Amino acid sequence: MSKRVLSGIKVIDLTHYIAGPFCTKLMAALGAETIKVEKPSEGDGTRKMGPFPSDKPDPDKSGLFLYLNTDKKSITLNLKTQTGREVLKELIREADVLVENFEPRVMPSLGLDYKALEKINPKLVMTSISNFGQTGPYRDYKAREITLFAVSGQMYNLGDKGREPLKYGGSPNQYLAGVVGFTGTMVALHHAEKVGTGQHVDISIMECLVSTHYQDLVQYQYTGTVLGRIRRMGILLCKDGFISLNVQAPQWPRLPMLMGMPELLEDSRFKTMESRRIHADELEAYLLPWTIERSKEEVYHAGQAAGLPLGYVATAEDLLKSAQYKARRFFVDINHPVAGKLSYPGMPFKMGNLPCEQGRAPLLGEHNEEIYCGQLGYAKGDLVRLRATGVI
Amino acid sequence: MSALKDIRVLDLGTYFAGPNCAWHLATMGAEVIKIESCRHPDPLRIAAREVYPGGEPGERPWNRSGMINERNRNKYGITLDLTASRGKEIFLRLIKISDVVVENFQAGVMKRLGMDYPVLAEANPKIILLSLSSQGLTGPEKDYRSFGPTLEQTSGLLSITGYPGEPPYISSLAFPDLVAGTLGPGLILAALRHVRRAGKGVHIDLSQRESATNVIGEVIMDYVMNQRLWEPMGNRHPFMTPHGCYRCKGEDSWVTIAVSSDEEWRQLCGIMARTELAEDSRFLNALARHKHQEKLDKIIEEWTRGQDHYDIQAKLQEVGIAAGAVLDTRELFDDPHLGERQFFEKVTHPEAGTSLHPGTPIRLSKMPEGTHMPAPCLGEHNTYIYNKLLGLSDAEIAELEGEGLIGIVPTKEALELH
Repeated sequence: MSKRVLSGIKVIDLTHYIAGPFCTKLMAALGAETIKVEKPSEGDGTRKMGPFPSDKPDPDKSGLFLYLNTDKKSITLNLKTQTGREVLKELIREADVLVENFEPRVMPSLGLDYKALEKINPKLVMTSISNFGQTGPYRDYKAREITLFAVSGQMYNLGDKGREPLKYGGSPNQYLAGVVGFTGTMVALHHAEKVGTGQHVDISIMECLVSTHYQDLVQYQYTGTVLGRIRRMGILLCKDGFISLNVQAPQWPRLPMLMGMPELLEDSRFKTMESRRIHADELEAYLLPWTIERSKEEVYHAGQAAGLPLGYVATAEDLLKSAQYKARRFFVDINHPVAGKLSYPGMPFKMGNLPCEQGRAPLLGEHNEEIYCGQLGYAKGDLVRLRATGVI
Repeated sequence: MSALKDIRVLDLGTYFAGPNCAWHLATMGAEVIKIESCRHPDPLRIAAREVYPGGEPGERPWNRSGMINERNRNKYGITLDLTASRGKEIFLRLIKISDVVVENFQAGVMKRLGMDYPVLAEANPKIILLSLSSQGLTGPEKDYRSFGPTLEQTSGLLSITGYPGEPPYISSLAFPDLVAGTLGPGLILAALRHVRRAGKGVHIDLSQRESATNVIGEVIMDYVMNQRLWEPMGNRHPFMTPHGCYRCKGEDSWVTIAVSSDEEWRQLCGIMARTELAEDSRFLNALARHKHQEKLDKIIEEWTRGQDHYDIQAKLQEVGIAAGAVLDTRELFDDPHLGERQFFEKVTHPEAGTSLHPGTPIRLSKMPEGTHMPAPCLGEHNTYIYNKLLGLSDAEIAELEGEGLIGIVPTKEALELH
């Protein structure tokens, strides 16, 4: 453990749902001691969100919670009590980082805004991830994945022309905000370790998303063009799913050759990229009988072998079976006392020969004794009293 | 006052992923040197997709490419032919005085250049190399070709994206690029901490495809636990209803609305002046609303159709309902929230004029980071870097120019490549 890049860093993790926890998951995976502070009795709201095995809810079996909270410790603490907040301050005294993703009015209302925490620990890096940031007219606006995707400018470009734009499935933008939170924290931490003072890192999920829209933003600035939704890219049905045809002009001849249809090269309808776009349906009619006989991975590999940048629409099942993912050991098996042994997506990178094993998500309040007694010096009897008074 | 000003980064990145990663470091104060060559400039200088100021390529189009001028702000720019042995020698001298190298070439390119990690580490044992590739540097598919959209498909993201009941929607976006490009700088900084303690650098092998799989964790877990595959569900939600995208007044104007409680539903009925709907048994609770969501969506769109999407957003937010106007690029520049947060920065480029660019989403309370340098013209800082950093004399620099190893104009072959 001491060989990891963030060993020795202590993170107080007040986050919940997706963006915040993904941010702290990354730190925990890199070796930071990450102490997740959860509400007594209920814990992080994602414990109640599935997926659950056989759809039977259990706070220690939520697939989302288990995935997002690997390598973390859990303590319970009620921040709505004065005592709870005092205990948190004791923890903050010895911490390097605090991450939270409450609505912006919450931490100040608890007397836990950065100004207050800076007095307790001037070296603390406090990272706040919120929908719209700590300031501005939308500061207290409500948001969900779909509404954030909408105001980011990206949604306008996804989907068919002429009908409603589309959101990505799941909540990928929440995760992206978590990544920005991680990088932002690392920047502030680098600075804090150098000069001895921390600061407040303000991450707005909306800004995370708008800032990724840079290609369209510069296109508008330079040419005044507003890009919108274009015809969807070519997709072909195979025996067991879909492949896509991202074929650029110089590679085009290889496709008909691969499929044993050299006559298509002479067909005037398919001579240029533009004409292929206009006659796309006719082209697909020729290609479909070939692809439908084959599995999508067969077409993917054959195409790539012929130098074509084909892609296949991978499902979760495909990824778990993928030879590439197996070779990279991307999925990791982690054992959990309640949820059992499961495969999880691991980290998307290797860092030289540094260790990369990941540990399981914690049970609710699993580390109360270790942290309160072991680190803060409370007696076991104190914990009983704190529990009885609703503090932990 | 910048956070990362003690760090020097050599940016070999091309297109977006590598340059985006390096841009974050540059914007936070690191000294970033973008290294291109006249034979192989960043392809976006040449294949500029017609994105020139006012659509005009001008005399030196390679310095007026919007795609380049956006993500390469805050960097110094030099040219250096890394295929020549003298070029390699100079590069290794730069390695000796740098902390980080960023590259996003296809797997195998650095090795073919004779510049893979062992070579770099021999010149500077503390060097950190970040390799940002499509699939990672290992595995049977490591040499597979892809564009951004390819990785959206092969990562699993598109299997769950599409209109309900239709095939997956293949976008022209490049989400994996963005996740990896934003994760990269954080990993570099974490690794730097390790370098300070252990005295040894590290090679970070970051896969864009895997990064995108990481952002659909719950989808993977449902398969692992229940062997269940998610289908595309368009703009719908497993349990929130109404939840969707509704047409508003205008040619292509939309608003998204997500109602997450019965109370919010009642508020929405009030705002739509349809209070009777709050008593309608079809919509009384989440389960019922979910069952009748098609009908519900039609009712809501009857109401949104006649209104401006910003007005709807404001009205619903006032009563605590999550609503977001689907903004197009132009609207972003005029958005009041981004305006007050001063998110966009005015940047003036010596050959491309003045334009607005997105700032960094990483806001540090004690350091106002931002754009202090426009993107470099090709080889713009050759003299500065070679003279000041490497101590080469004017004569030596002239010699390198004469041999074609450095310069400020792409070669004829490079210009004809696209």
